[in-house]
Amino acid sequence: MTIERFLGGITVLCGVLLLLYGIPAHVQEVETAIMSPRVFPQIAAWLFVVAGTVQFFFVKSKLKLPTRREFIRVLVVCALILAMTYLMDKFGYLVGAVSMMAVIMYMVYERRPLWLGIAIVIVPIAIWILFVIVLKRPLP
Amino acid sequence: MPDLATITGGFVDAFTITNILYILLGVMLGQIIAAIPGLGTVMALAIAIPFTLAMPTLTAVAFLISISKGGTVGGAVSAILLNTPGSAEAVATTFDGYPMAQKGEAGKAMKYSLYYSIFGDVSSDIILILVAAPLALIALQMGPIEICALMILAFTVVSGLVGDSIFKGFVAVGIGFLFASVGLDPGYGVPRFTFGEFELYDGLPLGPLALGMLAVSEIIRQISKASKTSSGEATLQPLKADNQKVTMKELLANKYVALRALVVGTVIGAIPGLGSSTAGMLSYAFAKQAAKDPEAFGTGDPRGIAASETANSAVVGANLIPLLTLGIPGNIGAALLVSAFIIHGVQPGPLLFETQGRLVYGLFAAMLIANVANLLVGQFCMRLWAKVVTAPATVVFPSALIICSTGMYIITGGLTGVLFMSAAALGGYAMSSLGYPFVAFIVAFILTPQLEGALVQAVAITDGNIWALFSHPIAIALLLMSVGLFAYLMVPRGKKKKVVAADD
Repeated sequence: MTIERFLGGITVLCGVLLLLYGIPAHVQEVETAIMSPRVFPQIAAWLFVVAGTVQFFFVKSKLKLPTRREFIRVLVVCALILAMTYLMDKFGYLVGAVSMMAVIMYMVYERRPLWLGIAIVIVPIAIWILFVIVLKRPLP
Repeated sequence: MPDLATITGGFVDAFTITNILYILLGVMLGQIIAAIPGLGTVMALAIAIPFTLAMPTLTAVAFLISISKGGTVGGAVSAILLNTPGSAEAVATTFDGYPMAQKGEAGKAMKYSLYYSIFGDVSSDIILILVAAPLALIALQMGPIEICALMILAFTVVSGLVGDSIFKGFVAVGIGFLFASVGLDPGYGVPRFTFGEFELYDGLPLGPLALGMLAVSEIIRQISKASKTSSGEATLQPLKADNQKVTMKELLANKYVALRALVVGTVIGAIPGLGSSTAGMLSYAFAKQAAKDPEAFGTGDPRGIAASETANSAVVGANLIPLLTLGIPGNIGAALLVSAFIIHGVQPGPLLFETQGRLVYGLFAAMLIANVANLLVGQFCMRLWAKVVTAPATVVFPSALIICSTGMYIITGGLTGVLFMSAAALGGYAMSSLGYPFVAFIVAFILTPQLEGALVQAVAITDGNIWALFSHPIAIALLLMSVGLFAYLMVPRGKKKKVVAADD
């Protein structure tokens, strides 16, 4: 099975699930409505069903998928963003920002001391100064 | 039409020291950031949006539009010096810019790109200023049925011309409809897909969604691709001081190429879904096709730079035509501008000229000031930007990421916005990796409330009678155009070449 067929199948399945369960369960019907609140979600669901079916049968694959390593690193970076925000909330902006930059610098294999210093120390401090002192927007 | 007092008032508002300084700063930031390969104008806009929170609306919008204008100039620097376009729109500039640099004429190539960029930018701004108000007036005459038909056409254009399959475009539009449905239904206040969470009653926030999907997804992609060998070194072509000047005679020698490029850029810019890189590539192709000596293109011919730079810069002004007159964002940059407008409490669309006429004309004045600033900054700082493009990507992308995250924390006042942004970044990464155009998603997400409102009105007016459509010839014409475009896009790829504008 090609990736396009797989994606087309998943899209159709999503559309059908929305029509049979998602919309009836999570969008209340209004009997007297000029246009039901369910119309737009239903348009979306039908788009999934029709376009997904065409994709399943006719769209030829030209995709070059990211490697597993790349995908894991993407997830790690997203987790780091959330971790940074949590650390910011708990211990202050600079702790969160410096920690995140240090981990990312390690991830991207940057080992030159000058650039490490700029990225881990100077950039977070410069951003803090810019937001808090120049723009007067509070940061934790 | 706005009266003279509104127009002059808007121009006076723009000419303050604060605004001029921010425009200057915006142009400089746009040029620097777009000069760095991989970042580009969209990233520059995304990074700047959080900083505009503390600014008055006109200053904020002027600052952002200046960044956009600066970006069209900056993108050419690395295209010429490194053969790597700083932003996608400068791809066609590499074809002749880099060969010129190899001949020791890097400075001259950069001057050509600057002057033709400014020509394209100023001309399309003037076209925008002249046509926007009358078009908005026409748009105001349109009823809900015509608006629905227009939106359907916009979705067909965006789905069909961006990305590699119109059906994947439709799926992306469907996701946009679905996400825009979250929150209270505008007609009856019925909650949709809120799962009992009160935070979702207002719907999904546009700011984190746009920033995450359009900018952060690209940053995390670049970070994920880092390997031990990517150390960020770059080789620059030497700038020779004696070979930098471009005379008026040399510029005028390519006047027809530039004029043709202006038409291409303006038309492409006014069509939702297309953007600067498409304009640059198409214009280059047209110039080469029309030349008596097409073989000269690609060997360091200034006509190539004229064609590419004039067209990609002409898109910036023209792109605001659908945005200001119809509220339809033409490309990613325009989508980010919409989110900035909304953050500042301004809803783009035809009513803008009536309700915020002074702001619109202030914006037009700011655009003209930005053109002058672009010329001056480019004239004096190009050599400096040539040094900046060597900054390592290993520092640039993480820095951009931390600015976006901090900005989102401030905009949304806490962890929730950052959570949305991360989820949107992951979604944007997945969509682009799987070939679904996220521009179509964002455009659908932005336009759905307007479309839903118009559809409710249309059903009420016609009492649900589909045949009533035949008493609305404009709507019929727009729907026929959608069908025609759909049929055209169905022709197999081998028989015609399709324009791909995923980067726009």
